Amino acid sequence: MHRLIVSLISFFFVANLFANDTVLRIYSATDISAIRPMLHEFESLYPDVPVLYREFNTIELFDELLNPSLPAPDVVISSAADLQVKLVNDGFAQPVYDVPDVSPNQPWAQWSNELFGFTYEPIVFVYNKEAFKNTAIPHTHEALAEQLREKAAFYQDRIGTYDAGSSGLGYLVASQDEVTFSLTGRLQESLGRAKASIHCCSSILLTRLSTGDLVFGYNLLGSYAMAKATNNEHIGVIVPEDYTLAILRSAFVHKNATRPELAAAFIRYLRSPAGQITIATKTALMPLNRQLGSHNDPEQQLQKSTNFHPIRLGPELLLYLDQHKKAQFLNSWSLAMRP
Amino acid sequence: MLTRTALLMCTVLAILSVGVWHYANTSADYSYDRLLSSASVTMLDGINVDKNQVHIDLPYSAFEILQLAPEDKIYYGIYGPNGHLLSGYSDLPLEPSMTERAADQPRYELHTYKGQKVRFIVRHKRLSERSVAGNVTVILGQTTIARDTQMRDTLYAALTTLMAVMAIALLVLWLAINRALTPLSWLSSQLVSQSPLENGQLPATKIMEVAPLTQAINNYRQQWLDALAVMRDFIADASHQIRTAQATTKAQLEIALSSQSEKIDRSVVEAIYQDHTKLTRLTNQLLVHATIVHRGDRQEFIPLDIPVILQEVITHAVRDYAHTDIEFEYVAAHEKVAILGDEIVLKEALRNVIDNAVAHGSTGNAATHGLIRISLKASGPNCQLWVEDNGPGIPEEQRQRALERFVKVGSNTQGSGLGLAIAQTAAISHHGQLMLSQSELGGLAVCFLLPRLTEASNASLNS
Repeated sequence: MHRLIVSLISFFFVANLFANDTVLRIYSATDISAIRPMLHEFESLYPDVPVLYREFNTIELFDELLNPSLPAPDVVISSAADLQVKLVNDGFAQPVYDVPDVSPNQPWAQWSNELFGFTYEPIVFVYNKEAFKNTAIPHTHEALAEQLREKAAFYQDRIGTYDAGSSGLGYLVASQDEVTFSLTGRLQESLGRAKASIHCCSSILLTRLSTGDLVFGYNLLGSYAMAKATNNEHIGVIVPEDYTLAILRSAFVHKNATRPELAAAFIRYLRSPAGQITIATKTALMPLNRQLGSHNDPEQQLQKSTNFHPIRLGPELLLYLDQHKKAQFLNSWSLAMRP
Repeated sequence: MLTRTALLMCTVLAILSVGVWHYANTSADYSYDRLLSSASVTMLDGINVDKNQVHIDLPYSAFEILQLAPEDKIYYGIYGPNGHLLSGYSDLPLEPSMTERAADQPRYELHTYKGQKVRFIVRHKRLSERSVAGNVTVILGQTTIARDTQMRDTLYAALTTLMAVMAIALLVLWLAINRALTPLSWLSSQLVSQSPLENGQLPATKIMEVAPLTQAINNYRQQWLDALAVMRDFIADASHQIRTAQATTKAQLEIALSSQSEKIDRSVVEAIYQDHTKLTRLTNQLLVHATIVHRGDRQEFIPLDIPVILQEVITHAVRDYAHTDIEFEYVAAHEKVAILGDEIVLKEALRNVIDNAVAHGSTGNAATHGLIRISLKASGPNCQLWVEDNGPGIPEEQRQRALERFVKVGSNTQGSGLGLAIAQTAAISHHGQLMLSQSELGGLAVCFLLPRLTEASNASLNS
C-alpha cells in the first residue's frame, strides 16, 4: 500500500537518498498528484534539498508514527485532524515559530505552535448528473434524509460514503457530523436502509459515481470531488446549504526530525501567500485562505455558503478517539449502516 | 532622607512583590483548576453502569470546556472500581487512590509528564449498582501554558501598578518634604545673610508655620542686643573711671617728679596714696560687681543662715575699722532667719554697704562718733537687713540716682559710685530689692528686703 514517490527533480540522486540526511522527509496522507505542485515550488525555493514524499492513508500514517518501521519524518501531513491532534498531544511534534497567519480570526486553524492547518476543504455531496436529470437534487442534510425516505427505491444500493471504520477521515467526518447535526442518527439509519456502500477512499467513490454505478455520494471530501468534477462532466458537487463541515489538512514538524529547520520552512511555505496561491491555482486542494477560491470551483460555491463549520484543531478532537467512545460510535454507526 | 525612604519603599516593594507573585499564582491556579474541575465532572457524567459493566460515553462538552485554554494539551485516565485503567493514557504519573472516598474534595497535583508541566485533577464517582459497586476515578491533566500566561499577566499588571504607586508616593513625598522644609531654608538664608549684632528684625513671613519662629528669634536677638548694650555701657563707664583714676595718679606722680626740691613733699605722696587707694578700690569693686553679676546669672543658691553671715561680715568690718572710732551695733532678730542665696554675693554686698556707711557716715562730724547699726528683722515671708549710719544721708530726691553705677551723690568724692549698685544687683539677684531711706540715726538707711526660706520652700528644695 505504501507508495514511495521521490519528486522528479531529485531523480538522479535517488540511489543516495536513503543514505543521505539532507533529504526532507514528508510523510503524508494526501494524494501525491494533489500536492506535487507545492513540492515543486518548495524545491525551487530550496534547490539543494531533495524532498522525499511518502504517501499513506490516514490510519496507516498514524500507526507508522506510533510504531515506526521507517526513519522518522521531518513533516507529517494529514487530513484526519483528530489523529493529528492526538499525535501532537502525545508529544510527537515540536513547536514551529513565525508561521504566518493566513488570514486573521482563524485561531482554529492552528494548535499551540505545533499543528498548522493549511487547507480548507469542505465535506460535500456528490451526485451523478444523468441520474438526477429528472430528480430534485438535495441541497441540505435534511432534504437528503427526506429523499432517502421518500425515494428509497431510487437511492437503493446507489449511494456511497466513507467507511468510518477504516478511514481516519471517514471517522472524523462522521463523528463531527454527530457533534454538529442533531439528526445525524436518523440520516445514518436512512443510509443504512438504502444499503449505502462504504469505501475507504475518495477515488473509488468518485469513480463509481462518474460511471453511474452510484448516483449519490454523501460526505465526500470536497477538494477531490471538485477536482474530479472539473474533468468529468458526469458528476456534480453540492456544498450543503444547511451546514458544511470543513476539514483542515494540517502539518507538523516531527519531534525527531533530522531537518527541523527545513521542515519549519516547509510549514511556513504552506501558509505563505505563495503557498496558498499555489494551492488555489494548481492543486486539487483548497487554500485555507477562502478568499483565494479554487480553480476547481468555477461556480464559487466555496464563497457562497456561510454555514461552514471548520473542524477546529484542538484537544476536543481527542474525545472521539477515546477507546470507549470510538467503540460505541463505530458500533452504533455499523448498526445504522448495516441493519 | 529621600534615599532612606526610597530604600524603605524598595523593601516594601520587594515584600509586596512576593505577595503579588503568590496572589497571581493562586488566582491562576484557581481559574484553571475550575476548568479542570468542571471538565472532570462532565466526564464523570458520561460514566455509568450499563449491562452490568462500567459504561463510558464521554460527553463532547467535557473537552470543549478545556478549549478555554486553547493552547494546552490534555491527558486523562479513567479507572474502574478495582483501580484498573478503563480508558485513556496508561502511563500517567499518578494513580487513583483506593482509600479516597467519592465525597472527598478533588485532589490537584502538578507533575511533569511527557517533558512538560501538567496539572492533574483526581475526581471520584460512586457507582452503586448491584453488579458494579465502587468508585470510578477520573484523572484529568492539562498543561499549564494558559495558566502560566495568566499568572504572568496578573503578576506584571500588579507589579506595574505597584511600582507606579510607589513612584508617585515617592514623588509626592519628595515634593512634600521640599515644601515643608522651604520655610526653614528661607529662615536659614535670612540668618546667614545678617550679622547677629545688627539691630535688624527678620522680615515678616507669609508662611504661617514659621511666624512664631521668626518672632522667637527676633525676641531672642533683641534680648541679646539689650544685654550687649548694657555690657558695652558698663565697659565704657568702667574704662572711663579707671582711666580717670590712672590719669590723676599719673598727674600727681609727674608733679612730684617735676619738683625742684630734692625732697618729696609728704602731702604729694599723701595725695598719690589717696588716688592709688581710690583706684584699687575701684578696680576691686568693678571685679566684685562683675562677679556678682556673673554669679547672679548662674543662680546657684543654697540655704543660708543670715545671722551667721552677718556675724562674719560684722566681725570682719570691726577688725578692718578697728583703727577708726566707728562703733558697730548689731540688732539681732527674734527668730531664726534663713534665705536661699549665694553666700559670696551676699557678703560682698553687705561689705560694700558697710564700707559705704563707714566712708560717708561720720564725715565732717567730729563731735559725734560714727555709729553704724546693723539690724535683722523678720517680717512675714521676707526678712529685712538694715544698715544705718549717722552721717548726713542722701537727700530723698537723689536716692534713686545713688543706686546707679558710677554715680556719686552729695559730698561723696572718695567713693567709686559702685557700692550701692553692687548691693542692688545682689538684692535683685536674690529676688529681693534694695531700699534707701532716712535713718533714725540721722544718716542713710539701706535695707535689703529678701524673701525668707520657709519650711515649705525648704521642703520643695530638698525634694
